[in-house]
Amino acid sequence: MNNLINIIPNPDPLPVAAGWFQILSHLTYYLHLISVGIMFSIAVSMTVGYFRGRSDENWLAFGKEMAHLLPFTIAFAVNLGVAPLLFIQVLYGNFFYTASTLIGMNWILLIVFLITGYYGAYWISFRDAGKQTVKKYLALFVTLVLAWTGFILVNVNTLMLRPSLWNRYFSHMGGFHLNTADPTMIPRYTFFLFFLLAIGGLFIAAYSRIKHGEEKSKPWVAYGTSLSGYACFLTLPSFIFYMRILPHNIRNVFLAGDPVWTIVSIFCFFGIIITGYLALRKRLMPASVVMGINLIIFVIMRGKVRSLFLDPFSEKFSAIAANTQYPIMVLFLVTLLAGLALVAWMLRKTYMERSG
Amino acid sequence: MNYPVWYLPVIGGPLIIAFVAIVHVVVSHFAVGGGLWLVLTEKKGYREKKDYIIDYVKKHSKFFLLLTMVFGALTGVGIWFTIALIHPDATSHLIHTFVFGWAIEWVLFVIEIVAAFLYFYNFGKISEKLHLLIGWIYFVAAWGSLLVINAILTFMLTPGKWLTTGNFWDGIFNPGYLSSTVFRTFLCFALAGSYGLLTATRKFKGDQKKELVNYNGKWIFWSLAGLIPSAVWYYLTLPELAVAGIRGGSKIMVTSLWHLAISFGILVLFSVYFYLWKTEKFGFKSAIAMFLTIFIFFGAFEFIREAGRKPYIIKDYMYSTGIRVADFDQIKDRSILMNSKWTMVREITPGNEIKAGGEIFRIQCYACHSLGIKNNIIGKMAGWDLNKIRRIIGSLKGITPFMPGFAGNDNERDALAKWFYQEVHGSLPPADRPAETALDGPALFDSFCSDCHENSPEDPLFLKTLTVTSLEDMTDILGRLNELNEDMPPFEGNEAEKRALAEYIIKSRSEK
Repeated sequence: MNNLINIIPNPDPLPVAAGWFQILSHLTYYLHLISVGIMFSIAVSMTVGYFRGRSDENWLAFGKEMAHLLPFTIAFAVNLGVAPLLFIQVLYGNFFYTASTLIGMNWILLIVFLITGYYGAYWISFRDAGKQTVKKYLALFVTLVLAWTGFILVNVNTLMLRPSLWNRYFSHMGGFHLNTADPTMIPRYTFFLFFLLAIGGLFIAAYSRIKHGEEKSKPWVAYGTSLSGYACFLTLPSFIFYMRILPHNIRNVFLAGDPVWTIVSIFCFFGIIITGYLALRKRLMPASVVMGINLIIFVIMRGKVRSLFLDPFSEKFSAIAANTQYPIMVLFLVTLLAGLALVAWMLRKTYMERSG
Repeated sequence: MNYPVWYLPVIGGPLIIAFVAIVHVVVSHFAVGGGLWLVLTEKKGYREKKDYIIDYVKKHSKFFLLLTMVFGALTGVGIWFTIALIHPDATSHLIHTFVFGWAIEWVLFVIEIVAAFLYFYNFGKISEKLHLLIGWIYFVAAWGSLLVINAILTFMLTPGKWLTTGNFWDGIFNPGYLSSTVFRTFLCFALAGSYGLLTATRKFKGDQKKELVNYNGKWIFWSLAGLIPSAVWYYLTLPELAVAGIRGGSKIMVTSLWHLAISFGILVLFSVYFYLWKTEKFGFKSAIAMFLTIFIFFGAFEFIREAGRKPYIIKDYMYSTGIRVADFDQIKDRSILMNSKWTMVREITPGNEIKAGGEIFRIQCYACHSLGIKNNIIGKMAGWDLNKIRRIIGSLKGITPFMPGFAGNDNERDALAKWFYQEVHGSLPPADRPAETALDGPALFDSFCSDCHENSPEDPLFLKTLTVTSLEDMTDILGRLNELNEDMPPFEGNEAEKRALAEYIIKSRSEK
């Protein structure tokens, strides 16, 4: 353990108490997770729409509709990812930067892939009349790019929790590593992929209902709720497998070791089942409410898993600085509220003018 | 030292940063200036009731959306990733010091993307008044982002009072902040005008083209007029060392200054010729030339700014190597290897010197030097013997103020020198002993002095020893170099060489 402590970089001091950054990172990550779920599900649905659209005009129209939505969702998913990434770097920057250096080449290439995928999304979105075959494969490419982005993010997020795996750096320092030696990485990634579809499926159903009305939207509400429902049930094997292979001391906290966290994990598990059940029954509103609550539980649980992994290295956590910045934090919170109010005003005003 | 190094020795970290940073800053500045250009041009279209101008703005806004929302936003994340990979210590420090500044910038970014989407997708679908208002909101949010990020950028070059107070606002309102903000704001407008020229010359002909060339020309002309006083103001806030670099002390700064001056001159000539005189002759090729010239101007400015910070990543606080200024002496006295977390060698033994040298290169030199494309250190050492390499490493600060001193002990310096020598020549010199130098004055001067001194009457070596006339005194001075000036290495030749060199200096001086 001493050797591991020695290689963990020394942290910089925090401008306000760590708890504030925990709250901010959880809150913004919650929003990011929803936006990524919507984005990924729309990308998958666009691809499905274009592939099935060869023989069915309705599917083609659905694919096009998803294609028009995708660029917005990528913009918001990227934007809402910035804030949790910022706050996590404040809390655990010394762990995070080390992990990102180990996968440096894959980490930086992510930007290149994302730019390509994002332009691909716009290309499809702006060309209604283009060749469907090209669009079909481009849609698949964009979806794979987004899935790859998630894979790299899960890599860095799991590797930062495992200083015991960092010595692989010395076998190659050019950043070509991935965290494949960590048994938790793949189940965590597959869990995320299905979980994102479960979130976004509900959005697609809700969007279709609002956009096309009760009657016309029926097939797409059915599609969205089915996507969400099946994805919920598909997360369960990954969830169980992930829990099984967590280190004993961490798993124990969620499985009877700590009553509060055991209840939280049970809520999370059954929350997914209930969401899946409600979604398959096409009960959109209750399913969305349960999903919303479940996401809160999931985000908190994820934070707990991270802190349990990192607790043995707590002496490398940032301490609070002598020069605290509470007034600046208040300024940020005021700016955030004012900014959100301005965004809401712009959206409302535009909507009102457009709808006459 | 604190973090592992993302090690790509052929490419080198600075080249990656330069590439990502330059494309990002150009796009991000265009995102600011272009925001104002869109609303003012749209307003002009409404005011003058010219549909072709509104159509022009609409098309422009599509490109604007594609460039800023995709390329601008993602290269913004990209530069963040890149600096964290190349300079994790500095990035961590900046993130911890200015986290709420960055968080405010994120809020402005949220406003920007919502406003940009609403602006583009609602052309002709909402009232002119609301559409323009959304455009204004976009511009103010984008300019607000510049205000925040520029504060952090200028902080790195001129941290000012923050160094003693550690206060957030002292860091933000640092000595270079206001002048740099004004300078960059004019750059934003110049970029917006230059892109406007590209599309105007492509899309229009005859009077419409003339009108819009004239209109966009105004953007560039008045931006150039604003750039001159703001550049002078910015120059006045630069630290002494950066000014010395511009005035000849740093080759890269001088070269970049020439690029800056020439490109600015071309821009002024272009503007005067086409905006004030022959507007009708301005074509698409001229617009491309203008755009590229602004790109070069901007790139040169960024190179000067980056180079002006050397040897620091945060002036007077942290060296480019990630070592804090306050820790430097302690590390130097002890050992760079012992103080580094991510090294395979902690202690130098006779069997591991070369390996240790390679580790020290990675920790100490790689932040600025590569073994390949950019700032190749090996190429510079082609004709050097082992002694010279050793000496240069030991007197880096004396040779150039733009490099931090070597932060290791003598054994580590020797190990690094041997590693360099082996990289250059493929093997160590026979028997690893100091190469013998012939007892002839010019050869001795070349071997022991020419790294820092010139054989010229203006050189400090000759000026400071004017009163020394006896051979004994000069020999004595050569024996105490490091006592007389801590940035000089001790004389490493033998007694006969020392005496012969002293004789040569006296003789050479009297001849001059």
